[in-house]
Amino acid sequence: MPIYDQTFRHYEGPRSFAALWWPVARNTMQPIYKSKLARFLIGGILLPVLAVSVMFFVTAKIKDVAPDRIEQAQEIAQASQVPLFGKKYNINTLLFDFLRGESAVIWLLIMAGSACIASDRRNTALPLYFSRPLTMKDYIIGKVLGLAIVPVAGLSLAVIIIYVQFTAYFCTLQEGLTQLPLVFIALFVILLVCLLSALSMAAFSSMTNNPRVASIIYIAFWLLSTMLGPMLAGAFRKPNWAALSPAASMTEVMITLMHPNRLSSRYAREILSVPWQLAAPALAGWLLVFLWIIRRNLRVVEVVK
Amino acid sequence: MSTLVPDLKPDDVIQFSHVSKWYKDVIGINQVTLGIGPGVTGLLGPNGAGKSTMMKLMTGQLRPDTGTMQVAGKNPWNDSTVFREMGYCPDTDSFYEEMNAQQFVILMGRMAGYSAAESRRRAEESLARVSMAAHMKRKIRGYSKGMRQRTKLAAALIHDPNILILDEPLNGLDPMGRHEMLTLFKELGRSGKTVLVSSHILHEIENLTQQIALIHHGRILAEGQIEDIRALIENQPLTLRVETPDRHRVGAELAAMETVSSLSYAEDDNSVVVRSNRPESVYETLQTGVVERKYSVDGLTALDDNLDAVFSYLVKE
Repeated sequence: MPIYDQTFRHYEGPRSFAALWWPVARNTMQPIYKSKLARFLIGGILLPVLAVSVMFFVTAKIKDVAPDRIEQAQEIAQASQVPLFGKKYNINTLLFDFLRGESAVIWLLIMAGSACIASDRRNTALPLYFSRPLTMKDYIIGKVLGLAIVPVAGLSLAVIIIYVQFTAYFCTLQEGLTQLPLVFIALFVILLVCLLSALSMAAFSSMTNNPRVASIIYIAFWLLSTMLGPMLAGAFRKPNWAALSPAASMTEVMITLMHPNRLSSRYAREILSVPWQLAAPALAGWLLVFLWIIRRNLRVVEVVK
Repeated sequence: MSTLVPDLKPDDVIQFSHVSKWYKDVIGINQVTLGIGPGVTGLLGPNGAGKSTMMKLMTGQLRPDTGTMQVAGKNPWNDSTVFREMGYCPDTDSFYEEMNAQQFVILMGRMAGYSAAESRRRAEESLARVSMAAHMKRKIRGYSKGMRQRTKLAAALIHDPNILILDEPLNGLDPMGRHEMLTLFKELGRSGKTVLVSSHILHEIENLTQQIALIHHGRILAEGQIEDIRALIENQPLTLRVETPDRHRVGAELAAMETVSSLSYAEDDNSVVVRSNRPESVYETLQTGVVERKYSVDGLTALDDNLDAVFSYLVKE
C-alpha cells in the first residue's frame, strides 16, 4: 500500500508539559531495576526493618513470656527506651542509626544508576531529549528522581513501619503523636541523603560516556572526601575543615535534626566538632557543585538550554 | 551572475538572520541569512558544508555566536515550547539500543507531552506510517541502518509536528524505502507543514522538491526554486540538446549566433548540443526556423537545468 494512503489520526486531546521529567525519570529507573543487584539492594533496605520488627515483637512480649519482668517492661515504655541488639534505643536513636546504617545501601543502590547520563551521552540521546519540549530543569529533575525515587520510597516506608510499630508496642497514642514530627524529620533526612547521593552520581555520570568510569569516580569521590575532610581537620588542627566531607556534614545535619540520645565514639570524636551552622551550608554547597557539574558537562556536549 | 540575497519574509517559519557559528577556530556557518516557509525545502551541500550545524541551531542544540534565529517566532535556544510543534530526525543514531522501536517511540511521545496510553497509540500509528509496524517489537540493536532511519522518523512524527527538521533522513534506506519516504515528505509538505530535508545527494532532493537552499563552506550559496536559481546564473551558458533530422542546417544557423558560445554534434546523428548565455535567443531562432520551414525540430532539452549543474556552477563561482 502506498504510504500516503495510510491514515494518520491527528490527536486533538490535551497535551501536558507540566511533568515532562517523569518520562525521563522512568527511563532512568527502568534499566537500574532490571538488574538483580539493584533488586537485592532494595531487599537490603527492608531486611533491617524485618529484624527491628522481630526485636520489637520479642521485647513487647517480655511480659507474656516472663511475668516477673512486667515492671521492667513498663519502665521501658515510660522512658520510651527499648533494648534492642543489646543497647537501649529511643525512637530518635533508632531512626538515626537505621538511616546511618542504610546510607551504605542507598549509596550502592544509587551507584547502580551510573549509566543515567553516561548512556545518554554514549547513545547520543541528548539531541533527542532536547529537541522535545523538555527543559534542562526537566532533564536534571528526571535523572535525579530516577536515581532517588526508589531509595526514598523504600526508606520512607521503612521509617513509617518502624515508627508505627514502636508507637504501637511501647507508647500511648498521645506519646506517639508527640513523636510524629520526628517521622517528618526522618523523611526530610531521607530526601537529603538520597538527593546528595543521586546528584553526585548524576554529576559523575555526566562527565563520561562510560558508566564504569562514572562508578569509579563516584566511589573515589565518596571514599576520598570522607577520609580527607577529617584527616585535614586533624592535620591542620582546624576541626571545621571536617565539613569539607559531604558525608561528615550530612551526619552532623542528621544529628542536629534527629537528636539521637547516644552516639558512637567515632561520631563524637570526628563529626560533632563540625557545627551544624557550617555543615548545612557545606552540604548546600556540595549540592550546588554537583548541579553545576551536570550543567557544565551538558554544555560541553553542546546541548543545553 | 546576480548576487543572491535571501529575503526574510514574515511568513517564514524558520528565519536565520546573519547567523554565524564557530567551533573554536573552525567556522560552522558564516553570516547565514535564510528564510524557510511551509512546504518541503531541501538543504543541500557537500559533507562538512554546515547543514547539520544549521539543523542543530534550529533544534536548539547550538547557540549562534552571532546573529539571531527564530523558529515559529521563538528562539529555540532558550524557549523549549518551540519543540511542541517541531519534529527532529538527527543524522546520527540516537537510540537506546536495548529498547525496541515501540518502546523508543513511546518514550518520545511521552516527552512530547502525551499520556502513556496516547503515546502508545500514536507510536503504533507512527511506526506503521514508516512501515515499521512489523518490526517494532524487535530490539533496536538488531536493526539495519534503514530500520533505524525509519524509527527515527517515526519518533520525529509522533506528535504530528508542524515543523519537521530531517537531517539526512534518507541515508541507509533502500530504493523502495527512499521512494516511500520521499512520498511521505511530499505529503507532509502538501499538507502545509514546514519540512526541511538535508542531503548531500542532489538527485534525492530534486525528486522531492524544487525549493532548495544550497550551502557550501558554511555560506548559503543560493536559495529558491531550482529553475530560478539556474536562471540567475547569467554567466554560465545553458547546455541545450536540439533533436532534429536537419542537424547540419540547424547547427549552421545556431553557430552564426553571437549568443552561442559552443556547438557540437551529438553521436546519435540526430541532435545538436549547443551552449548559450542567452538560451531564450536560441529558442527564438529555432522557433523562427521551424515556422519558416527551414528545418524541423523534434525536441529541445536543457541538459544542465538540474541541481547537479546548479550546484557545480555555484561552487565554481
